[in-house]
Amino acid sequence: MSAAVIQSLVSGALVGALYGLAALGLSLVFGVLKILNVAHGELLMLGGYASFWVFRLLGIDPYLSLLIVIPLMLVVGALLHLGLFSRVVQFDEEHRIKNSLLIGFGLTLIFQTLAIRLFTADDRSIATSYSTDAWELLGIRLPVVRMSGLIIGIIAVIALQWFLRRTFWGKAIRATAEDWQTASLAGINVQRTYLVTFALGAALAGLAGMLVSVGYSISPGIGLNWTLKALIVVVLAGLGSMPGTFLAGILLGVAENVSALVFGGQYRELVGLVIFFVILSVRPQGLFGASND
Amino acid sequence: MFTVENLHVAYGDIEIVRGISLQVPEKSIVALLGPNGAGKTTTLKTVLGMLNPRAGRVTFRGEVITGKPTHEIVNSGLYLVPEWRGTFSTLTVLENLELGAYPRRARQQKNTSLRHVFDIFPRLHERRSQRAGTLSGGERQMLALGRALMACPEMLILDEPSLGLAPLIVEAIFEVIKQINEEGVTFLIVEQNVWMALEVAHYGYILENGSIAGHGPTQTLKSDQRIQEAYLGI
Repeated sequence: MSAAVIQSLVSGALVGALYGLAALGLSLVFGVLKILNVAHGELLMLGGYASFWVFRLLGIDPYLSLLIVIPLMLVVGALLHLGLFSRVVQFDEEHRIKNSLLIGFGLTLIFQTLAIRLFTADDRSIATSYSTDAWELLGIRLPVVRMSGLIIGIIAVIALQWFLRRTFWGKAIRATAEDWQTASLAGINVQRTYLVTFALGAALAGLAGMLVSVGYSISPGIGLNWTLKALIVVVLAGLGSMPGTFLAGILLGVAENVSALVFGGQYRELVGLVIFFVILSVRPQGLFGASND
Repeated sequence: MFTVENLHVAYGDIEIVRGISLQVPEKSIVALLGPNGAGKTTTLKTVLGMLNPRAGRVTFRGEVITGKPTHEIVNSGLYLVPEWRGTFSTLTVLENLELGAYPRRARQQKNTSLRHVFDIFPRLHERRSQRAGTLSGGERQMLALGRALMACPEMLILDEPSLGLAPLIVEAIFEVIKQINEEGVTFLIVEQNVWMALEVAHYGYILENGSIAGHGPTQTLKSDQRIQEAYLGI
């Protein structure tokens, strides 16, 4: 394989790590609350802008800005849940999905318009002193800011996995995901579990947004595209496995770059949609999801 | 310790529970008996705050619990093992048990409770790292009871504990119920298996078409001719 091919695969994996990170929050919220938050990409966009402005106005390093951005996104998530989605989760599953889609699309429009008004439609990215630094490995260029997406993504998956497997709250979240009624009979406050999960999903979106704004660029309109990528990844991975979701994100990133190499750059976006259809028709529970047997 | 007072529950216009009253004294075992469709499960769902009654109220330890959210009722020490067992099939046996100690009152004693549960059900210890979804019906009922014990309940409500189980396992389960009762836990057992329930309970209520058709100490019920004909097949 030529260096150019390997370089392309590596770049795909690096952007794919962000797809995976964006999908973690969507998958968690979908799996536990049974709602599909199509404004997830907008939360990512907001997190990106938050890091950008903290950097621009306060001069705080984007990685350090996470100490502000993540609590901020937890609060944004909590407020969105309390104000809107907590009413949707009173319904049965089918109505949860439908109503959450309506609310999500509404939020998409509101956040996009607000972002254009407040931040203008310009592309922004965080330019630090190390933004153009790169590691060289056997002739492959590894830009540090993009590598950080992969590394932070892996840390986030491990932390999330630990939280879900080892803590009382995490077990309560998994129990609620399986059967909320039985969870309430075990003494679990289901409404509070939903709130914590949604806030966590928003924080994960914010984390991904910061990494996008430092490794790539953000603008008010990027949300829908990120929601779509995250949705493809969730379908590809299936629900229930956080490492599986992250891995599926990397797979999608690599597949996009492979198809760009083989068929030309204009087909990059197509491959995700093809994967979407193939998985739904052949293996609807996804690559890593448990089937209902 | 536990009372239901003139409870009425309806789905839409159809009244399923029509004025049930019953009492469960502390440290006793009370059986609520009746055929399918008599309103047993609806009553329990209402007691645990999953349905709202049209009229009437439920008290536990002198406090009205009608209208409270389910998790608060559970946290106050009243625990239901539902007909569908209520084990989480995607969690391991150990994780299910740990989750049982979720109520605040139970967290401190988690390790003591876990040893106690493994003493009562050595089988659960053997299977502790297996997913609950892979257990047999009897093992799942053991897990459901074990998880209930992890919550350090003052009172346990069991909905059809014998449902779908082989007679030998049913007997073993009822032996365990007696043992737990002797340790001070109050029981309300809802059963179709009338004979088995009357063996273990001190007092019984007969539910028919949403209301109490008769009640009395189990010795009296067992010798009641109507009950023998209708439920015991004698």
